Amino acid sequence: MIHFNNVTKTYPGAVKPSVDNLTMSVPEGETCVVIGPSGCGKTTTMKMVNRLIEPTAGEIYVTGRNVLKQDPVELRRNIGYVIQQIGLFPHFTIRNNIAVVPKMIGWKKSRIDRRVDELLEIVGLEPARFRDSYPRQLSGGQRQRVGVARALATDPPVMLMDEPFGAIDPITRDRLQNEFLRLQKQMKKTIMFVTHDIDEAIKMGTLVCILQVGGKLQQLDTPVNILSSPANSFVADFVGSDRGLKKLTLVQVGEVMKTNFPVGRHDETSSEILRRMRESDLDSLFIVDEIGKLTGYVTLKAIQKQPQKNISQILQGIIATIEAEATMKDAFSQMLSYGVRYLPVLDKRSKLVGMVTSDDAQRLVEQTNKVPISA
Amino acid sequence: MADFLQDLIDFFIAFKDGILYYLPGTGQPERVLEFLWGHLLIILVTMLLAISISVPLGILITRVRSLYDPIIKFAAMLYTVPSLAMFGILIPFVGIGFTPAVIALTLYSLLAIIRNTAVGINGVDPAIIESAKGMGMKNSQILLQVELPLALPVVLAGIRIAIVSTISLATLASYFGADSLGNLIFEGISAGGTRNDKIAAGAIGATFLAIIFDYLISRIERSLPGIAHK
Repeated sequence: MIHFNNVTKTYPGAVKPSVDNLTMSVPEGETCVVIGPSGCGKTTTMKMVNRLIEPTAGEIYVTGRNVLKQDPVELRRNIGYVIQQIGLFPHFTIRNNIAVVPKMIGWKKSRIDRRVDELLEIVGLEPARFRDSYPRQLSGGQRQRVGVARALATDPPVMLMDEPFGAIDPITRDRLQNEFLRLQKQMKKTIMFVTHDIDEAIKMGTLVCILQVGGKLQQLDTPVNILSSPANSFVADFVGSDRGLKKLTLVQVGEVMKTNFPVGRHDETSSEILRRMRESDLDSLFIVDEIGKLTGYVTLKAIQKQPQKNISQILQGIIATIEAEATMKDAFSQMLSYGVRYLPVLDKRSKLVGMVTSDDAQRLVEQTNKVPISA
Repeated sequence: MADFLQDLIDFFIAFKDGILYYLPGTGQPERVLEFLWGHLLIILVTMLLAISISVPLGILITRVRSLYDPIIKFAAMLYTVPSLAMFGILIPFVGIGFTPAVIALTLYSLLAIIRNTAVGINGVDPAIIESAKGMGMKNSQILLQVELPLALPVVLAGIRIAIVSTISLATLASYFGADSLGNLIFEGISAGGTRNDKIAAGAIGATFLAIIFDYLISRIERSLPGIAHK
């Protein structure tokens, strides 16, 4: 969808190129996050796609057409563009800000009005309340939502995003990122996304492109591969020594949890429970009720101490649980903060659907250790 | 001290007489109106010319950077020519009366409007220009829909300065045969202190015009969309 073919950019007066003979592709529907230290040419790379910066040599193709052979104005109208400073027009209402491109390409007023309201809904702003406001009346987060809505106005297949969430407070940023991920799942745009934040890159990207100073491509791969097998010591250094922990954010609890393990029912007798524990060599067992809801757990010790009591009397309460949709990083941090070695995984109706152990988390971290350690 | 008090009393008497000059019976309202109209005409024609020359020049020097210094310096040089000398220089070419007055006052207005237009455009947030460009707006669209509207408060501030100085300088134009409130002032001066009411009447008229124009421009400024109302 976006293809760079031996692209070089040397700024006038500069000795070394900012982007050096870059060849890479972003397939359709992928979100490619371009990242690297400052001066690596990531913004230059992105701005060459819509010709805000002209390459010195090489070709760039968007949807199969060479951008250098297109009228830049026409080209840009077909590429959504979101920047960190947002760049809303302060003298335009929110409606007119979103309507800039539709107006230029001659949409009718009624079509524009419908589209503006639809887009405001999509980005989570109430149309009636925000349509006629001016940008200065909105918070930073709301303005960035309008920035995204504006870029989506004519539903372009390709979007360029230059640190779109960079100037927003961490809590709002996290929410906007999650909303954008959900949105992207439905939209399936081809996105080139520039950031300097490796955590954002791993979270937002389906592909991560790591550039070294001078625009030299180091690795273009999925976040998992970037973390578990960095191509060289530069990449390993760049993603950080905690890349194992970072990898936990890529894995959902549901993907690694055990679903096939012995459980006890609250109406079983102590001797039955005891026998099951011994069979599987366990020192504790989750107890569920007749519809599968988790009610607590019993330990081997408690049963051995008071063998005559029934299960409900020696049942102990659960202190920490997790959902299948949570990341393994959440699960691991739960285990650490509650000092437990395993977590029951519950669905929305508190039914026990699986369990994860700290060993699972550790195994994921260890998988990333077969990588070159830089000097 | 007594002298000062006497001067102060004389000033207020002249001010009162100046106002009386506007009223039928005690003064000559028809003359005042004629001069007020002459003054207004000079201002309007001057501003029309000054704006239509200066705004394009102001835009030009933001596009062609190498022209910025020469044009601003030339306008500044014109601004420093003493007004009597300026009228004097023009008389051999365009004679006396309305025309040299308008030309001289236009030349004086150039600096404030050219400079403020350029400063206003250069002051537009580069991120706004970048997003306009990134959305595929043409240069002319960016100029007309984004840069000029956003520069307008600064341009208006320049026009405001130019109008006030034009109003006061237009009184001098009477000395060279143009009809303005200056006629009253010069008549008063040549009467050697016996007709201070005329001097006051001319000054009051000019001040009145300055206040009116200032008010009108502030109304325009406040009606601009999306800008915080102060």
